[in-house]
Amino acid sequence: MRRIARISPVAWMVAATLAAVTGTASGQPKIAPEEVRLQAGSSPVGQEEMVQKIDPRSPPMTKAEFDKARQIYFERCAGCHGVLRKGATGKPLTPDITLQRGTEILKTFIKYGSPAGMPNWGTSGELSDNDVDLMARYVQQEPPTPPEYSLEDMKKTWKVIVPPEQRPKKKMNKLDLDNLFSVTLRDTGEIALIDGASKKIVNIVKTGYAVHISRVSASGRYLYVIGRDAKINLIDLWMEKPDNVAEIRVGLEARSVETSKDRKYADKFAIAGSYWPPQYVVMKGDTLEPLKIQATRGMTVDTQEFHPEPRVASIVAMHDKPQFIVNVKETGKILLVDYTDLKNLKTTEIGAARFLHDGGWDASKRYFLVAANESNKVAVVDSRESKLTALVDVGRIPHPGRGANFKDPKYGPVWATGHLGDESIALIGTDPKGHPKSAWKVVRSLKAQGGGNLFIKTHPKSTNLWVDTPLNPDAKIAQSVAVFDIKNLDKPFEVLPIADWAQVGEGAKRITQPEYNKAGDEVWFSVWSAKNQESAIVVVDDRTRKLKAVIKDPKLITPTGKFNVYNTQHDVY
Amino acid sequence: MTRSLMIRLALAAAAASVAVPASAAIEMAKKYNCTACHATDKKLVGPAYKDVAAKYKGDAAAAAKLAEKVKKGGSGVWGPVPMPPNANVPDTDIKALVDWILAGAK
Repeated sequence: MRRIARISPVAWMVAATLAAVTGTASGQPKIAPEEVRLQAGSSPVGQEEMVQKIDPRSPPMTKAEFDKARQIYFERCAGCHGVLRKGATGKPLTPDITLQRGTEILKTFIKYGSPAGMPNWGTSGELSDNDVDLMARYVQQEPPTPPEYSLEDMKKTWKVIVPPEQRPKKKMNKLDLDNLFSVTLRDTGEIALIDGASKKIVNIVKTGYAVHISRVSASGRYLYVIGRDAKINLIDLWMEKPDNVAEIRVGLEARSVETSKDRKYADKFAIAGSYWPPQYVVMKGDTLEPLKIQATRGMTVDTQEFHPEPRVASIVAMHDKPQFIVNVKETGKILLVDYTDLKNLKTTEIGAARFLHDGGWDASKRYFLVAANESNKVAVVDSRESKLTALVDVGRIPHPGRGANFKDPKYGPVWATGHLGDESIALIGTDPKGHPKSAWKVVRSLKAQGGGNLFIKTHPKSTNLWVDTPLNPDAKIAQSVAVFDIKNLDKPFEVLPIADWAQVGEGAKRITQPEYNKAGDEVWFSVWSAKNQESAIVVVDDRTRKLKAVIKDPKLITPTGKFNVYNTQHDVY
Repeated sequence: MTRSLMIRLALAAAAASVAVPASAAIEMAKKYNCTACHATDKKLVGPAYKDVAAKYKGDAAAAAKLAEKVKKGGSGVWGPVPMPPNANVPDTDIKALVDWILAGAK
């Protein structure tokens, strides 16, 4: 193994066993274009220098060709096929398989796509015939390995901008912090802090690229955000103008950050999980000093095969126990990480189902429900007993966000998820004591506007269930939301044309991520267009379902996720 | 390699008009990557084998024509997606595969 300086001469001899690969295209589940749209975004991992093994059987490529192909791979392919090409949403593309297929067959797939979900990169005009040929040869090379990320690497990027002793001793601003919103400005690498009452921007804070989530510490003082580039920012909401007080990069690509919510450990720890390298790290809560890194590489839950790239999807903190729930995508394992003693770390490993993604608490906060999205299941974990309660079959590619909790008039308390791959909303009974017959079953399946749903939302004080569809291929559906009446779930849903209400110019105007204010009487929606186009946030009155306000600002570029401080701090959803 | 030898022997044993055992044909279809794009009863990247069989039903020249297409590749009959050439597949195997497909690929 060596750095890729020159590709051709030094051949790294790989045992040339002609593996008889007989994987067939038939019988594979179809991947919805909505799912491809979700996964096929650019991966920041491609910008790193990598270690490359040479396989003498691979078709020749020059260094320049290889570098160009690698860049295209990480921009367009890695999201589905994985950094090491072991497959996830897309099929595995390791040389044992691709060499067997050969350049011509691979070119056909890349250019024309497949009914199983591979996009038609050639005929859609996104890749030229030259690029298609390049990629067909590239995927027959050994996948280059990105660098690892150690404690030392993290510490090199770690900055305490304002040390804890120099921070305010009390809240120095007049903001109603409970009703503050942290809004991701996806393409500018910033978040906007917006005051819930006045709807004015309080500050724009520089962060990592495409902040995936915001989390609020147990006390409500600290806001943690993480970008896709694995950069975490710690924002002190007590400052006169809330701003960054610490930052760190914990890997090359990441999605999740969380903070210790147990009363005795309020604001003590933070945890972040990365896609690359596949690991999580526990940090000091008020400085982000990295303390303990744990790898997630290991065996898959079903076939018990080693997986070199099990990405950390979502992380959620228990409120009544000093534990984090870490969801590992490719191995399908849920880790309950006890943070009381990092030197003698206790972890309970719960086998669930492959491709764990996101999830949230039930209303009692005893049960955690997480989507295993390519398995079309929702896993239920009992946090009190530390064990798997159920695996519930749901629709095609569940994507709950944190899900929505409410009382079904007939079946009692339920937690609901929408789906990327179909129009259904699955309502799962969550009250084994009061409604044992409904517990951990899909008691009702609602039909909303269509597939491409990312988030559904309600609030304990509301009787509305909001369903977005930003990744639906039909612009009309992507630009509107459906709203159900929880008291009357048999009644058809109402469609609100949120994008029209925003009155912005040309653009995709995808409506995404309903988020309630603290009082639970207004819902905020992002109207998401491209970087060079006007976007907005539309605020809807929850009771009347009428337009209440449109937030517009030249600085409000590509708004996506919005996190109300109180609802995020207390997991109200 | 043993498996391919067995297939060859099976082929040699079979008279020209007698079909190859289905299991051997399926093995070959996998071995030569046919199943990456084709299935018997549904369209994948390429047409379903049963549709190919239906299209050429009663066409005496079909076997030779299709063998040529498998060998050299082609496009246009089932849409713009091309069939890549398969120059490395022995003629006897191509013939066996084509016969199997024309018989319904069951």
